This record gives sequence, C-alpha cells and structure tokens, in this order.
Amino acid sequence: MYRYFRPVSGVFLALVVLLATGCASSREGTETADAAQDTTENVTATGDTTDVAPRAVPESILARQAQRPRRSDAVDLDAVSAGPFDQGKMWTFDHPPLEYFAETYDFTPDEEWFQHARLGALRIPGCSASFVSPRGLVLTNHHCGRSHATSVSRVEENILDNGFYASALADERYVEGMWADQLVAIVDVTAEVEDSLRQAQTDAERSQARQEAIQAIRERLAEDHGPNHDVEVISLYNGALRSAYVFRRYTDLRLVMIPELDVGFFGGDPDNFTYPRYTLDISLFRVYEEDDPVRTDYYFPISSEGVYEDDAVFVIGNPGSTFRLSTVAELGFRRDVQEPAILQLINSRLEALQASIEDVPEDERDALRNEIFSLQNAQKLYRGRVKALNDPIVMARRRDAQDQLVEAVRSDARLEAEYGDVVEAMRYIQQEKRAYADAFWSFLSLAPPSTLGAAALRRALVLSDFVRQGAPEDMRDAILEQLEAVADQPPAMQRRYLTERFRTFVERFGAGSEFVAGALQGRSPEEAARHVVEQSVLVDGDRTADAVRDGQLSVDDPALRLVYAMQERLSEYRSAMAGLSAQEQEVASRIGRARYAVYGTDVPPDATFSLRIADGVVKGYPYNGTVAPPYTTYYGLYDHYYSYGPETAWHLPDRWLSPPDSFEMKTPLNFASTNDTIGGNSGSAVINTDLQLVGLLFDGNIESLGGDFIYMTERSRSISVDARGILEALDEMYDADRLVLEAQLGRMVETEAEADAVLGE
Amino acid sequence: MPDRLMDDSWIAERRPNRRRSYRGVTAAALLALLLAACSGGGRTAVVTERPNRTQDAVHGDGAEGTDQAARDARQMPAEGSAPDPYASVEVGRFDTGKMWTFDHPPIDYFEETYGFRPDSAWFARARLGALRLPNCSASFVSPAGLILTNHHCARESVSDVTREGETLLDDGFYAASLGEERQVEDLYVDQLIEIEDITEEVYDVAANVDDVVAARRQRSDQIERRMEREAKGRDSLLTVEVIELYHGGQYSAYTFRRYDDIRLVFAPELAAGAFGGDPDNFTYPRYSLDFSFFRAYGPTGEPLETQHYFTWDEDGARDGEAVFVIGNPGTTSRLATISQLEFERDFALPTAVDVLRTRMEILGDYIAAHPEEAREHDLRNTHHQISNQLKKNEGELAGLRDSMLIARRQKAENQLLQEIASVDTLLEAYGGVIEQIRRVQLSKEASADQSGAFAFFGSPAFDSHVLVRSVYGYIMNLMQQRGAPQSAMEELREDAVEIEDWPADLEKAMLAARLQELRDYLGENDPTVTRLLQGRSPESVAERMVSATALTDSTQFVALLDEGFLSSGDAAVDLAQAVTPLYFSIQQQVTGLESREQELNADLARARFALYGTEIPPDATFSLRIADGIVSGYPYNGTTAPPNTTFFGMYNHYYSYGGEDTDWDLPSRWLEYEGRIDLSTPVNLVTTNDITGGNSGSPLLDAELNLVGVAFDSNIDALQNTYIYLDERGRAISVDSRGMLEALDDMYDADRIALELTTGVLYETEADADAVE
Repeated sequence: MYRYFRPVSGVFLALVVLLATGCASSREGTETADAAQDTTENVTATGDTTDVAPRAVPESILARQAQRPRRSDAVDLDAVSAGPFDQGKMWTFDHPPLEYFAETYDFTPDEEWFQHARLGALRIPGCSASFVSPRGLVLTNHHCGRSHATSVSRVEENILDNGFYASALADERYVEGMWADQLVAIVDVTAEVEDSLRQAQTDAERSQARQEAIQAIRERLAEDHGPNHDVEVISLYNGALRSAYVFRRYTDLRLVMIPELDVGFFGGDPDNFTYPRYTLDISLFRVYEEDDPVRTDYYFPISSEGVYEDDAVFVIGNPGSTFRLSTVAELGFRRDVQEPAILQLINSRLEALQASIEDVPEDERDALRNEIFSLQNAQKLYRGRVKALNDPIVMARRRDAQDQLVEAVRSDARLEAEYGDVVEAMRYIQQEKRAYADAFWSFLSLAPPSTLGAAALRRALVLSDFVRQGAPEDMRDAILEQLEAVADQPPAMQRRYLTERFRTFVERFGAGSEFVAGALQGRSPEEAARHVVEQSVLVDGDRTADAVRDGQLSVDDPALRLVYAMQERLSEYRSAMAGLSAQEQEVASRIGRARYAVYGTDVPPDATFSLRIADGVVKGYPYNGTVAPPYTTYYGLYDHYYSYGPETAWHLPDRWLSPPDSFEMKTPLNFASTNDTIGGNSGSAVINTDLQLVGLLFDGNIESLGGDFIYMTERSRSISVDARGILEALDEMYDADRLVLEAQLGRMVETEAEADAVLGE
Repeated sequence: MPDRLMDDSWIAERRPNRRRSYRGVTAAALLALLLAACSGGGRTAVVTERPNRTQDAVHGDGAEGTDQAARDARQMPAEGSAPDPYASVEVGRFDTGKMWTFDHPPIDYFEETYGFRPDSAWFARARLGALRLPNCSASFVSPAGLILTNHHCARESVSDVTREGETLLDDGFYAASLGEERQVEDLYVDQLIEIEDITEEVYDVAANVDDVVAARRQRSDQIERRMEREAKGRDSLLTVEVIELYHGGQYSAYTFRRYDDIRLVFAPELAAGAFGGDPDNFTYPRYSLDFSFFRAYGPTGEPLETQHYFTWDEDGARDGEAVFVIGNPGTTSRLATISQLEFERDFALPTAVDVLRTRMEILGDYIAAHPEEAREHDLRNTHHQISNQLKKNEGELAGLRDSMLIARRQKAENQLLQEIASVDTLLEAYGGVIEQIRRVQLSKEASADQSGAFAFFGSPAFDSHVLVRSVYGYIMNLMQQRGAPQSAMEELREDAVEIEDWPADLEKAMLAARLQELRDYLGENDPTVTRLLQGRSPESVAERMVSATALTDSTQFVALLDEGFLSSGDAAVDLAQAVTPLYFSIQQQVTGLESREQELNADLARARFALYGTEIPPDATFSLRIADGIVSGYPYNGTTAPPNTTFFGMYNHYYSYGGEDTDWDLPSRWLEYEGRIDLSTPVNLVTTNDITGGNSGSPLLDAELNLVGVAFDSNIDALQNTYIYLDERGRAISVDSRGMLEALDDMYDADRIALELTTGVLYETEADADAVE
C-alpha cells in the first residue's frame, strides 16, 4: 500500500508557474486560444470572475448534462444477455452433449466411455461415490461416510475423532443399512407413459393412469433385470421427458478407511462453502457380494499424475435440486418474499439460540451448539441465495433467457396455441402469492417438527381443534402421537422465539391491525411472549401429554388462545397457498414441455438427484481483491493450524502434528474447478478424459451459492480433494500401502505386509 | 522509477490542502499568487443547478429494469411494505476514525478502552521513536540509529545504491558489516520534536480581504519561515512545517529534526518483500516480508546515538492485544460533506478508474509483448503504481456506492446541521456552509466533462511522453515570451529533461488513449477535438504523430526546448497548440472552484471545531498520528480470516500458484534453505488500527511501546475507510516482529542486525556477532 498519489501533474505545476508570470492564455488572441474559447463558451457564465471565489454562488445559470462516458459506472441491464450455459451443465447420460464436448475440449468420448463413467459411479444415501478399484473399493467424502463410520465404532473406540483404517481385508467392517446404487440401464419411457393417458378424461384420471403406468414399468423392468435391482422413473423438464433408471443395488458395504474428524472436516463449519480450502474430506468403503469383494470392470483408478490449471475434468454424480428453469416471476417471489423471510427467520432464531445458551445446563449445551452450527450453515446458504437473487445481472440474464423462450413459442403457431400463455400464467400465480407475503413471513415454521417455532405454539396448533371439540376420547391417541413430533425446548428459548414471531406480526400486519390486537391482546411482543411461556401448560411436553390424557386442557390456555386468534388468518393463508401451489405445478409442467419443445435436450434439465455428468476445467478465480489459486497444498493446512491455533475449527490430530520426513507438504490437497455441482454431488468422482479419478468433489465456494438459480463461472467454483493429496495422505500419513497399491494399480492384497512385499519388489 | 514530477504528485492531495513541498514553493501558494495577479482576467466560472440529481443516482445503481415482479412488490399495500433498510443506521462514535494527533491525544478514551493511562512521557517516547520518510513512515529500533521501514518504501533507495553489475532489487541487500552500509543520496528522515498551536496567529488576518484562504496561507507561510529561521538558529538540523488540521480549522507548527545521512542496511529480495505482487496488494491473508532497515548517521559520520527507539518484541502480539500505530497517514475524506462524497462517487472516482484502467491495460499489454523493453524502461514499476492506485480507487468507489456508508454519513451531517442550528452564533456564521459546498459541487459537475477529459493529464506515468514534452515545450516558449524569471524557467526545464524516453509503440498507445478520452468527454464536434483529429481515428493520429515527431528522443527534445519549440515546425507543435490552452482554461476554472471549496471547508471545520473540539480527530494530512487498535481476525470470504499468518502459508502460495514466473515466486535462497526456518513462525498479522497510505513503514507497538510489527498495507475491506472508519472487516496489515527476526536470523544470516535488535548492542561485523552467539 503506497502513499496515495493524486492526479495533480507536473504540467499542472508548470501551468501555475506560467500563469503566475503573465495572466491569461485567452489574451493571446491566436487561433489556438480561440478554439479553446469556443470549447468553453457554452458553459461559461459571464460576469466577474471573482464570483467563483466569494461567498455567493448564483443559484442557477444553465444546465449542461455531463456526458462523460462513465464506463466504470453502471451496467446496462437491458444489454445483458443470457449465457449459453445459464441453465447449467448437469448433462444426463440419456442425452450427453457430444458435439459440445468435441468443440470445447477436442474430446469425442464414445459410447463405451460414457458407459464406463456411468457404471463406475455410485449413489449412496444422500451422496455420490464411485468405484476406485476392480475389487469394489469405493471412494466418497468424509462427510458422507461420517455417520456410517460412527455406527461401526465399538465400545472404547472413537472412530469419529480418531479415524479408522482396516490394515487387513479381514478388518473391514460391515455397515448396517448402507447401500450403493449403480445405474445399469436407462430406458426412455416417455411414450409409454403418454400412451397410458389417452383414455383418461379428467385430471384425476390422468394422474391415476400415470401412476399406474409408472408402476407397471418399474415392476416389468425390475423383473427383466433380476434380483437386487430397483427401478425409478425420473421426470425431466417438469415431466416433458420420462426415463426409467434401472439400478443395481449393493447392500454389503464395509468401512475401509476414514481419517480423523479434524482432518476430514478441517476448517469445520466456518470453512464450509468456502475456498481456498485444505480438507481431506475422504472416506473409503468396499462393496462385497456373497462375502467377497465384488469384481467390477468399471472403476476409476486414482491418478498420481493429478490435474493442472485449465485441464478438462468431469464430475459424475447425483446433483440434488436446482431452480434454474424457474421463471423470472417465480424468482422474484423467492427474492422478495420466500428467501428473505427464511433468512430472517434463521437470523432471529440464531440470535435467540445464542442468547439462550447461558440459560441451559452445561450438559445440554452441546445439542444447542450443534443446532447453532447447522443454523449458521443454513444462514450462509440463504445469504448466498438472497445475494444472488438480488444481483441485477443474474435477474437480467434470467429475464433475457425467458424472453427468448417466449419469443420462440410465439414464433411457432402450434406452440403459441398450446403454450402462449404459460409464462404470463406463472406471473399471475406469483402475484397472487405475493398477496399473502405478510402471512408467509409470519407463519413460517409452524409445523409440528419445525424446530424454529416455539414448542408451545406448535403444540397449540396440533391441539386447537381437539380442545375446542371438548377433547373427544377417540381423537386422543392420534393427538398424542402427533405431539411426539414436537421436541421440548427450554422455556427461555420459547420466549425468545415467540417474541421474534410477535415482532414479525407487528412488522408485517402493523401494530394497530386487528390481527395483532387479537394475537397480542394489547401486549408488547416481549410481554405477550412472556405471558404465554409463564401461563401455558403447552410449554412442557410431559405436562401437555398429561393434560391431554386427563382432559384438562382449556380453551383459555394462552397458547391456545393465541392460536384461536391466529386461526382465521392462518387457514385462509394455508388453503390459498395450497391451491396456488397446485396451479403452480401444473403451469410449471406446461412450461417444461414448452421449453423441451423449443430446445430439446440442448439445455440440461433441473437437477433431480439422478446421475449427471458435468464438464469443467480446473481454474482459480477473482477473490478477496486478488485471485484464488487453482489448488492448495498441505503447507496451507499447517499454515491454518498455526494461524488459528489449536482447539479451533482448524485443529490437527497428533499424527498430523509430527508428519514423517517423507511427507511432501507441497502436494496439492484441494482444487477448484468450474464444474456445475450442487448438494447431492458430494462424493462424486472427478475424472479426466482417460477415466482416471483426479479428484473427489466435496463442496462449492461461497460464490457458488447462487448456483441454485443460475450457473455462472466467473467466480463460482466446485471444490475437490486432489487425487495426489489423497494418495500422499494414505501413503505417508496413514501407511495405508494396501489401499495405495489397490487404488493406483488395481491390485488388491489382503494385508499391509503383503502390500509392503509387493511394493518392495 | 518515478521522476521528480512523479514524486510531487505523490505528496499532492485530493483537495489541494495547504501542503509541504520539496520545491519550497507550493502549488497552492503559486495559485494564490495567480489569483492575486489575475483578478478580473478572463477566468470562466460555471455554475449550474442540475435537477433530478437524486433520480440520477438511483438510476445509476441499476434499480430499474430488473423485474416486473419487483416493481409489483414495491407497489404492494403499505401494510406490507418493507421498511427503509437504512432508517436505523446509526452514526458510530469512531466514524471519523482514530488517527489521533499528538497535539490532543485521547487519554481518557485510551484509559476506558485499554485500562491504561499513558502519561506525557509515554507519548513523547512514541513520538520521538517515530520517523517520517519522504513518502512513508519509519521508526528507530536500536540506540545506534537503526531504522525499520517497509521494503516498498526502500525500493527506490535499493535501486539508487545499486552498483554496476549488481541487481540488488532482485537479489536483496545486506551489509554484513557496518562499513558496508550504503549511503542513499538525498534521503532523509524527520523526527517530530515540538508542536505549537498557531491557529489564532494564522487567523489574525484582515477580515475584509477577498480571498481569505490565500491570506491565511500567506500568513502561515510567514510564520513558518520565521519559526524555521529561529529554529535553525538553535540547531541547523531543525525544520519547521505548519500543518493545517481540520481543513484549516486548526494550524499547528511542527518542528522536526532532520537526519540526512541515511544508509541502507538490509532489504530482502523483491520476490520476498513484495510476495504476492500486485494481485495481493491491499489484501489479506498475506505472507510478505515487506520490511527493510536503514541507519541514521550523525554529522560526524558515526552511527547516530539515540535514546529514542522501540525495543523489539521477540514474542510478538497476542490475538486481542491492544496495539498502536505511530505514523503519517496521507489523506482521508471523513469530514467531507455528502455532496462532496457524491461528487467523488459520481464523477471524480469513476473518471479516475476509467483512466487508470485504460493505462493499466496499455502497459500490461506492452509489458507482455515486450518484456525486454519493459525491463529497460522500468515499466513494471509504473504498472505497479497505477495498479495500486486503481485498486485503491475501485475500493473507494465500491465503498461510496454502498448505500449504508452514505446513509451513515448523511446521518452524521444531519446531526451536525442540527447542532449548528442550535447555537445562534454558529448558525449565523456557518448555517449555510453545507449548502454552499453543495452548490460548488454542482458547478464542478457541470464542468465534469471538461475536467474528466484531462484527468491525470501531463503526468509522465499517465500520458504519452511526446504529449507531455510538447506541453512543456509550449509552456516554456510562452514563459520565454512573457519574460518569466530565469529561476522559474530553469526549474521547469529541469523537470522537462527528466522525462524519460518511452518506446514508440507505448507512446502511440498512450497518445491514442488520451485523444480518445478527449473525444469521448468533449464530444466529436468540440473544436479542439476536430482540430486534433480532423476526422481521423485517435489511433491513426497517434501513429502519425509519434512517427513524425522528434520528441520521442530526449536529446532532440532538449535541443528543441532550447531552440524554441513552437517555431520548430515539429509535428507535435500542433498537438501542444490545440491541447494546452484548453487545459489551462479548464484548470483555471477547476482551481477557482477548489479554492472556494477550501474556504468553505475551513468554515465548516471551524463550526465542527466549535462543537466537538478535538474529540474527533482531523482528516489525515501526512503528519504524525497515533492510532489505537487490537489484533483481530475478521469475517472474510464466507469464513473468518486468522489474526496472523505463518511461513507455511508463504510456501503454500508458492506451490499453489505455480511458483516460478508468478507473483508468488520465492527467491532461490528460500527454496534452498526452507529447512532452516521454523515455518510456524507468524509472518503477517492484522489489527484494527486506523491507517491509510503514508502509514507504510509505521511501527506497530504494544502498550509498553515494544515493537511487535511494521505496518505495510490494508485489506481490501479497509479501502472504503477513506470515507468512514469501520472496523468490522477493515484491517491494517503488518509484518510480525517474530517473522522478521526469524528471517534475519535463520534465512539471511543477518546475526549482526538480529542481535542489535534484541540486545541493543551494535556489532560492526557478522564475525563479531557470531562470536557473541
């Protein structure tokens, strides 16, 4: 940072010298001076020049609009146009974009390549994974394997904190309830489903016929493929296309290796959704069949070569969901109502939770802390979404894409007849929804299991009809069961939650409104909340259950009275929204068809937690006033440990604090790439054109949070664990030679000793 | 390397405050002369009222044309409408910052905040240990005159002492013995030894003069000269400088002791000192060894003995610890009014950013295409300075475009207005000042096109040297004709001949850029533009001009200067004749407005001063300040930035970005001897101290005045602190005392210096030092 230097030039000083010696250049009377005079004439106010310096500045003389170009100024939003990949690059295996791959990467994968990529990939509960050896070794993320690893932890062990490595095949531990799906076939069943609808007359009949057709397809295909197969019919483009995906399901998975939590989750919640990153977010399992490691021809060997900036890489995995095909009006509702309302809910509940932690006994604080952490992550996510939705460029691009679609529909008479009104119809629905914006803000998180609402209020909602009807005996058991979904909360926390909700009531409906008068009974939000918490039985779960059994609940319970005051507004809102949401689905499905009719499969469908292939390149990006590097190294891991200090989210286990001399700190650990990924992609293999695994996807950077709505690669990046970093850690830090040998060379051995012998050859 | 003209622009100001100059005659003083001599001349004033300003501003943020649905939302019934997001913005106690003067240090505040009450001896030690370099800050760190500052503050000195066959900038420099320390010509440091409030004396000018600002300035110059005479009588090393604080609300005479035998002791390799280069400038986390050592020598040629120095803290500062930066912050605009900020936001800064970006691109392209020539002409350094300036301006612009910032400043202004209104005498004297300032901004806006066309005009870093030379030729010719004093002519000629030759391709691109800007800002039909371009493209005009003129060559230029440029028939004569008069007339106009603005600023400052006294610190004026803060990380990039970084991170960056030929390259020594140093040693740290350009090289001290670091940069979030001090994310970045010591000790084998720092004993040679160890 230098001393600020200012554009007063040497020539300016020279000018001063010159002017000091004689007085005015305009006296010259030369052609030059005249020219200059001309230039300034139209902005010249005649009169005594001393008018400038002295006190009185004349009010108004003339206005000449400054016309300077202002390049650095504003963006012309009308000129913003949609990018070819705004809808993303989550390509299906049904319709991979062969030409585009050839054009972009000079890469022409054949059918076998895609088959290999598809069969090497796996879907596990909530995540993606892949085979990395011919004997069923499976690689996924630490955060995907974490709960499974915990479940095999034995007494006195603490696998989560200490990690696990089965140094012999026999030590690999069976994980109860875990499975892995391999996508073995894709069948286009669009026509079959459509055919089944021919006879149907009404909406209900159509829906019935569709379900029956889908069920028939599933059963037939499952039977065709034999046991251990499962079929899902996936709806793409809001139902314009339907594909039957046939999965081979493996159910014997065993834990092979998982690093310590501190390393697998290095940086913890603070670093989640961020890059540069230094996390060894890996875990390894093995698929067994008949108690023997499964044999497979389809796997991705872990590459020791790695990748470099600008190399093409492909992510094979199961992205969860996106809203990239939403119309601008839908996004507008999200931007103005839905997402900010949820964000405000998260913000206010976080504050309340943080304030409540002191009121809670020490031994219960961990649960609260966990809730705070997960809310902080949600906060990060929603902030990112709100930010993206408020980016005028994002909206302008989405608008342009929508205009193009509307134009394309309009220019085709058949499409115009069928779909000419869809975008407008969607806009109308969104406008209708906006009429309920205040209720939306006010009535969030009221369902029985919604932990962000006060328990007393959620119980009261379960109970309101029951109590009003005089607590009929025959409803009692059902009611008690429903109440079980409402977990207890400390009273102080309920008071804070209620206060926040009442504040929202006042903010949204106005302090003088009838609604607020009824709900708050003339009290301030704080007082009203205190009143409920101090007077209502429903604050406590056990007391509530007792009162239900004893039939002692009264309509005068303050929590119930609150619900009765809210009820009219609430049920009006709920039924209106239910109706609108049904209409919305219907229109969305028509828009999907229109889009498919215009673009076909050139534009990938929104994510549906089904297998996709996303192309991209390894690349840094502008960040924090500088540029982020394409990858990070183990040096950075240690830098973070020593910078933040021990016992923080960047703590390191003992093993890591005294690394062997042979451990190469310059080995790449994580890398950033432009691949289009989203939640559900965690654990996806990142492969090169030779079908080798060069990375393991585990996160996106903070800028990627806008990816729900649009795919932009200027700053948004996927983050992966580098294959070289994985091998270095397995080899040097964990002495897992058995796995290095297998993942690199495809050779499975049963013990470390055997591996050492082979490697020593 | 910047020439003298460039140097002057470095100390020049955003608003031409009264300011020190190497020439002894300030630009402002000359202006005063000009105004006095020229009243009634052909000066043009432009004053306009432009309607719909607010609307314009709203349009600028792109609120329009986004989404029909959004508009619908805004039209929703009032019951559900969202509240103004900035309605609840509060003015913070420290919005105007913490750059406290030594005239009025906030002792009570220090006590209430840090639990210690520094006495006057503490402040005297802090003041006397601190030093000022020509454009940086520094400090004594040993009783034998050892001086610590930044590497980037020593960069020119390193080049200056480089001998034939050496490449010290790249290789670094270490004087292994006292005898090898190299004197830097013309370098000096100033130590502030006395402060005297002379406000009343300066204000004691006739009430009825036309130009109050000029009169006060004259008065303060007189006082300065008188005091300096008296001081020199006592001690020839003393100099006196009158510092204008609160935009003329207060005048203080600062007496400095000047040490002018300064020798270079140590500077690391450029790759280590500027690790991360331009990309990492103004950012954190950071891993730069941006430090260097000089030594002051006494009149007898012996190392200066001084009792005022800061002891090196080998343990550094802890997270959360209170720390103080003593140094000379250059410029802030925290007392500017909203209309002034809006002018900056809507006109001055966008223009500056455009002009700088264009120059950056031209230089960047040229350097990439011609690496050899670039090295020869030291274009990297020019590029680096422009990049630095551009990044700063972009950050400031982003800050001003943040509605929260403006809302908060607006609130402060409203409060000030109310408080002025509540005191009759103030209301009468200053009630209309803010409005008057606003009107001046309107006038500036009306001529923004014209002044924009000449943004950064004539400075050799920003303009074609052919153009600058032609303008010098024109001016000298005119001065000759008008019988200007010989001394003035000589001074000007000296500046002119210092302009270095540039490669023809670069000349063409730079000239074309300026011609393009003249056309863009003045319009195609402007007579000057028509005359210059005659229907051709800026590129083709520049191409022809540069090919035809003799001004590309310094020898021929000097010859033309001496023969009389305008009558030479050179191809560039026409250029100078077209451009210079227009520039003059526009500059006169701008200068007139700025002078008026300054007077109003001073009035407002008087009002503020009457209300708040010295409770709020004055805007930065490159005079000595003390800024308090604490060591602290901050929210960044979706996570949190650590309070300090380590050498591990330096190597991580080297390997992550690809090492060699990147901005994160490491000197070979660092790759070879990695094993020698403890990589977990802290290398840089961040603190909440309020600093800005000029603070570079400032000591970072703990409450006992032990040195825990040397300030060298701000993070990207602190750039908006030009307008408001916010410490949520804005941070000062320093090199950690532990990192410096580790590098000296284990990487550079500079035991002599390491020992001097830790023991206070001067060792003449490495061997002497080794013997002790």
